[in-house]
Amino acid sequence: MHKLDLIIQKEGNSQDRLIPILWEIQKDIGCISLDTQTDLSKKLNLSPAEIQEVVSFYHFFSEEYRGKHQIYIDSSIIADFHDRNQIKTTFENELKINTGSVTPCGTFGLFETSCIGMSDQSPAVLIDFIPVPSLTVEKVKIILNSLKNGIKLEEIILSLGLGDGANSSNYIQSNINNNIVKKGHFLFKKWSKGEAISIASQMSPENIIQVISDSGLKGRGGAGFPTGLKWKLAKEVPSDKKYIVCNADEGEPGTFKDRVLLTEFIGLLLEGMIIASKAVGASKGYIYLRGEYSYLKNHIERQILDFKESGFINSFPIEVFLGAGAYICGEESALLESLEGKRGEPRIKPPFPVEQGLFGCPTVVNNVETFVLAAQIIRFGHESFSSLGTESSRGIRLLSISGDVEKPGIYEYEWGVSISEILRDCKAIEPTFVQVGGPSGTMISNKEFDRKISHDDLPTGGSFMVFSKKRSLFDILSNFMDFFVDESCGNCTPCRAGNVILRDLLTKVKTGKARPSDLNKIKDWGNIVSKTSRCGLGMTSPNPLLTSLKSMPEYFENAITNKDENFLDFDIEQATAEYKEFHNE
Amino acid sequence: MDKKVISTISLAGCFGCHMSFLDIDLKLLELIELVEFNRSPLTDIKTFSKRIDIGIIEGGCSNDENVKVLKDFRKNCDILISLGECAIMGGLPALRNHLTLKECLEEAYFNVPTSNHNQTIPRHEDLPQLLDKVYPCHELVKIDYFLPGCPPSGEIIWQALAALIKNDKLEISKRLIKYD
Repeated sequence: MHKLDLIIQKEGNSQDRLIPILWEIQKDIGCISLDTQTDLSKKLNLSPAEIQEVVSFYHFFSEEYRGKHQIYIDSSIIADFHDRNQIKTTFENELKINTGSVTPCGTFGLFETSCIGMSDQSPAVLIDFIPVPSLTVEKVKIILNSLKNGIKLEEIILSLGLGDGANSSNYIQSNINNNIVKKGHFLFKKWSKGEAISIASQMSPENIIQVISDSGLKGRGGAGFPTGLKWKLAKEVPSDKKYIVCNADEGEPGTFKDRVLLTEFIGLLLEGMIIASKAVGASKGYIYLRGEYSYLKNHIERQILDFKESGFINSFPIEVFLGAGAYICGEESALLESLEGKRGEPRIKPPFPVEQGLFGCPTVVNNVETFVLAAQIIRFGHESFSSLGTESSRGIRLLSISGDVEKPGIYEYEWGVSISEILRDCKAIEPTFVQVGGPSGTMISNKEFDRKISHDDLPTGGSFMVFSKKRSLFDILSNFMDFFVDESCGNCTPCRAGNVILRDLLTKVKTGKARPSDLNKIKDWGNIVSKTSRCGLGMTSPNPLLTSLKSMPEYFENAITNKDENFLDFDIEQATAEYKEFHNE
Repeated sequence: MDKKVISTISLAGCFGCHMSFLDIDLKLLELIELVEFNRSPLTDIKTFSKRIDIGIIEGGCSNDENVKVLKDFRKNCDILISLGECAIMGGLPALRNHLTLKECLEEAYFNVPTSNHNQTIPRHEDLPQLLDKVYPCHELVKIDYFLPGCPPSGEIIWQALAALIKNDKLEISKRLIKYD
């Protein structure tokens, strides 16, 4: 039987299976060629364009061949500051190719990708979609030589040494470390399998929602929508089918707490989802796992099977669905589009997912941490949670701390903790800037370290990047703007074009070509992009620029040396160099 | 009221914007009461002989001569207007920005069906040197106003000039700047 037929036979031929099918083809053949797309379109009864628009949307799918071994270098700012360039050069030299190409023999392809969730052990790469962190020049050489000699990646990873906790279990086998540094008293209370579910089974759906509401739990993805209310809204919409979706598309650069939760707290996560399904009356669950975490898929599926065998999920099947490299799919409506087998472009709201979500049915989409916390709240009661934190922000928050610190890793804090306390705990090295909440969050300077992590001061989705005084503010901001330009889905103009304009203005400042009026332009364009974009990406992408311009205007003003607004910097020699070269002058 | 002094120039443009300027028809008679023209292809005056109130630029910058002229306009004009698509965004000439200069010249001089096979690509010190790509004017100098269109209609040019001369607020109806 033809390979494509086998894949379709396994996955089914409806559109919502498109992304799993494309994944199999990409992994198997190294590309999804136009011919394959045409074949596939006939078999799935879609137009070729409907396949191509999906293939071209996701970073990990490609029409061109990407090599037998596909290598993706993490391009996050944290990796940049951890000798990423040296690692990249080593790959390029060893493979004798430039990044963005495939070796002539087709064995290796070398590419870049956005943050892969390994900021606590940078620099890292994905090799055949398996993360390999804490790289050194020597390690890169060993890995490439072994691969060239036909040694399997799994064996190479074993020889590099397995990571801590469940990372070394049979179902993960990675050399990633959890780096749990600060265990608090809520999340890390010992888990006993099925306890939360059995408590919830004695409760009515209304009762469960009441407890979650009373706890004050807010969504941990970043937007902070009250979880109890979300569940209540989904419950109230009459429908035969409802869905629970766990958003494990942890794409915000600098975040990796969901990686650790999925590794060590997968049982609690499943319990949280099962409890949510009871509360809203859902019949199916999905875990939308980012492609970069595909190494956790077996581990998660093993736990799901385990829960099934224990009789916990008889009427609530949970499926792990693999994303394919798109930051925007962390936005809940884009995630749902992706689950339906389409481009991950955000929907226009309303209707909200709780009314019309997956396949038009009421759907609860919550972050990994939200479900885990919900299960704990059911176990220990709402007061155990609501008594922690602040008035506006109840309970605890996991932080993924990375950058110029001696102890990067996972920290559990009560909301309301001050930046300076966090910096003390993680042993920050000459901290000068902190980016709270990832590139879409807030950039603060060392004059603001008395500010607090909370929904009414510094909200965060968990990313906490520390930069020492030797780091350049403009390098950091440029990396963030590159990221947003790359990850904008392109659907709405303010985000697609506005982020490019903002990046160009920033480049002018960085290269000393800006004029005083450019700072106002940054503010104006920042406002346009954040106020008129369709979804959270564009609404927040100007944040690092705008917040640093507000808190550290002196950095920008000092970068502007030429105040002549009439004549801008234009290098006529450079602009005519190509012409002269052509005429051999 | 003193007459305002106007200068115009076409850089990497097609003179379509200038033609459109002439399309203000009878309003030209009204305009000539309000302004005098200095350096401009319309007057064939090649150098500025006094301070200019309003400079109008058609076309972007494709060669070093364009750059020199544009800077000269900025130096001599109080107000500078980018007139039309090419001045504002590079326009049709900027299609070459996706090619290298080599590809572009070889296509134009060797590969087109009309080329004669002994052709060489001309180079002389009197010929302007091509830039690596076509630049919009506001990337080189400050531009005060932008009048979009390919070309902007005579009406829009007249209304904009009238507003500037009389120091009125310019309110252009959507009909005039809607292009789809």
